[in-house]
Amino acid sequence: MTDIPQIVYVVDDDEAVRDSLELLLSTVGLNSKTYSSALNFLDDYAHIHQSEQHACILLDIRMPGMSGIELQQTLIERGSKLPIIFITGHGDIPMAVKAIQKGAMDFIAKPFHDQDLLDRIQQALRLHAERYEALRDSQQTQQHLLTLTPRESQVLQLMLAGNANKVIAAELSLSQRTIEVHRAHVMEKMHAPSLALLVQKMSRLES
Amino acid sequence: MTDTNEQFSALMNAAVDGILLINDRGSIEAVNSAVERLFGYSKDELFGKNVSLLMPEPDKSQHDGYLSNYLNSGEAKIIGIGREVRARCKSGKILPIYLSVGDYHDGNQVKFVGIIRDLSQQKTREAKLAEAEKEIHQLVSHLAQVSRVSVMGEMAANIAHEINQPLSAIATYAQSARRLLNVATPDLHTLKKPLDKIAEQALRAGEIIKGVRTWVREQDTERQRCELDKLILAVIEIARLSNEQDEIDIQLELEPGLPEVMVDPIQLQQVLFNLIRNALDASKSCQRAKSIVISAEATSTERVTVRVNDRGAGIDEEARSRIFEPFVTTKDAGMGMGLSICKTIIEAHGGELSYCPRSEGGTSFYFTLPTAISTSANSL
Repeated sequence: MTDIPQIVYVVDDDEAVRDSLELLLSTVGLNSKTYSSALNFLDDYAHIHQSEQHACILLDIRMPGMSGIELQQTLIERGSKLPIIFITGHGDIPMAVKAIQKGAMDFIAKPFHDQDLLDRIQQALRLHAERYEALRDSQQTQQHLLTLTPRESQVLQLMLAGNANKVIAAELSLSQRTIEVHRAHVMEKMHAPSLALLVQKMSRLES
Repeated sequence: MTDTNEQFSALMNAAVDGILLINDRGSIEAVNSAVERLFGYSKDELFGKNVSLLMPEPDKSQHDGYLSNYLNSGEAKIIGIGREVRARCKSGKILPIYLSVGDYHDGNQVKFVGIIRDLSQQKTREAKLAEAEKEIHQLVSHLAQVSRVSVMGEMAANIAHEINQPLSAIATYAQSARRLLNVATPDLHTLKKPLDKIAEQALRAGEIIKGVRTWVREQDTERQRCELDKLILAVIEIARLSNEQDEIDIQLELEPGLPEVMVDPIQLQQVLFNLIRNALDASKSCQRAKSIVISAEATSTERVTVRVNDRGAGIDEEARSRIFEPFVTTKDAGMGMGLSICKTIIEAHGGELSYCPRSEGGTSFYFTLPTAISTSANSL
């Protein structure tokens, strides 16, 4: 988790605000990339989307052209998992509340305390890392499922329903010994050291 | 075979338009039923009478002249053409009509047929339409006025946003600089950039503040002699729009015969609008205070004083000394720009804006202005 590089995307129409944020982030060793408009960010989005980095967006709520809120909506529609921290000005609180309701991680009012901002950014990067890992785990589980034979899949379903080997054996008209072998294969192929972990992997897959 | 006369008579009387026949001396020889209906005279009352009976002045006394003029010169003013004229009913009512006239020869006598169409319904419709148009026009200009007068609030919001940008950048640069110093052996050269930027952004913030003053001053060119009471009444109209359910009573105490003032009417209305809106806001948040009073009086031949009194909660101690400074506000969602701009405007007009708490509770904001007479005397 820690070996993956981190980056903060800054979207703000004010040059001085962007530049000062870039400097502040650099003092704590955080990489950043700045955009002067929501459209500029979207132009780069294909590239951002494929990036393997843990990232978050620091997004100005009030910008000429496409606003921060509109960019948020567009990103939701595109299925983005990037956490958003909104930067708000005086009197933007009602807008910020709406943004939070739509799933923004947090907002911070200009001018801000550096530590408040950096704490929120760390939190956002952790959140992205978690979302990223969850996605990767679920993809792996998906892959593992594909390696099971039809019989092993049947055994897996009955295992998840909480049945003992004896019951599974009766259900499938097989010997208990055979079920034990299938069961060992399922655990191995699913990379699950215990039944509890297997259930956890499968439940994450469904959500 | 039907009698031709009967057929002719049926035709005449079925016509919706009035039809009237006169001889070359202007005497009425025949009318149809529509003429009776339109003018309120019976056929018998009209036969043999001069057709000028059905006309208001000036046509009434000139009609004989029109006739002989046509008979002598053959120059047609209306004959064969038709036009809109006014007619007079028995009741004295004036009727807008469309009159078309044709002439024909009966033996060697010239006779005239007039066909009369009543235009009163059409005129009523047109008048209604014109009135509606006028109302729309008034509404539009009223709206334009509202937006000019309330522009200050919008501007205040923009200024607050604008000024927040450099402030925010300054804070972030300064905090970055502190972090750069916070290492065992700081590289002092790295501080140059944030320090330069802080200076630059502080100047930018200053420019924005200067811009507000320029905005007020740039509008100085529009000064004119204005009747103070009319300006006040117009603003109150606008303020009533923002006082939706009429929850606060807006009262007026204008001294009769207020002197004229030399002002930019829009700017003065912006000031008044701000003061009134503040008073309304103060009243809304206070149970006992459901009315505000706007008064104006001449305090001498050279000065007038306008007051906006509310019975709200008053201004807290803390804010009192700074209430006219930019970005000082006592409202939850206020920008703290309104009073600061008001003061700048009033002072630019040679007046003063101030306030005092009222003994019965609430606040009185008041400003003075030089009268137009004293303004022109001073500029001589």
